[in-house]
Amino acid sequence: MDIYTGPVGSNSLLQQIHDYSPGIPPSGLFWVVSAPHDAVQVHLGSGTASVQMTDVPVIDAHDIANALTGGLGSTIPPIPPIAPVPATVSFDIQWSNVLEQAKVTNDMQAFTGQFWKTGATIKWSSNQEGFSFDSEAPNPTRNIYSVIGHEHSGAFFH
Amino acid sequence: MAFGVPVHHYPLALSVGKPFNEINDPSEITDFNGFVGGVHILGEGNGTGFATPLAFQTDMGFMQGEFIGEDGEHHNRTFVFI
Repeated sequence: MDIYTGPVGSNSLLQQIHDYSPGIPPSGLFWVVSAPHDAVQVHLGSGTASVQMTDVPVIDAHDIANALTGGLGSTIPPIPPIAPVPATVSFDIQWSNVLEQAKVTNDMQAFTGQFWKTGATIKWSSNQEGFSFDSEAPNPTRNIYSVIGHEHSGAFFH
Repeated sequence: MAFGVPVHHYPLALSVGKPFNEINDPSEITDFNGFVGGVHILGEGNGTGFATPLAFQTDMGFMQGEFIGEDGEHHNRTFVFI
């Protein structure tokens, strides 16, 4: 979850001022948190799903470079090191309005499944010492790409 | 790899413009059998100390179902990608 100065669509590294994620543990599990089962609701028959969580502990690494390097910054492009700070995020994501459906099989990535391309909205907020953010009301026109589905991967592939 | 760090994630933005049946794996975990979702949204909101709206980008998702853990055992859990 990233915040930038500038109008909607601004997402360049040099405009980024907040980068919220759970961090990357030694296992390499990438920006993932365990969630209560009822935080996620999926109804593939109607092409809908939702994720709702409140006050999830995360870190604010300021920008994607510091998020990935653990606060070491970057030389190319030049991004100064910034130590992460604790924060919380809350979000309500809604998937609905099926646009397309397909069975997908990808041997290179070893997964297969049935997927629905949908519309989606999000309402989210963040809180940390000295800063809070509150997103606009859910707006379907802001969606770039959304998908839900059921898949089998790795040992469950084929 | 990004900034020299392995990234176990296929951004949904990479699927824009491709046929839908050629999307990348939306799941952040492998050896997985279950429900998955992903979303990429650009929008705006209000932040402390800023008189004008700030832009945001969210690339998020979920995984819910069975997976084989590093312990080799089967588990059933729910995960959210933030």
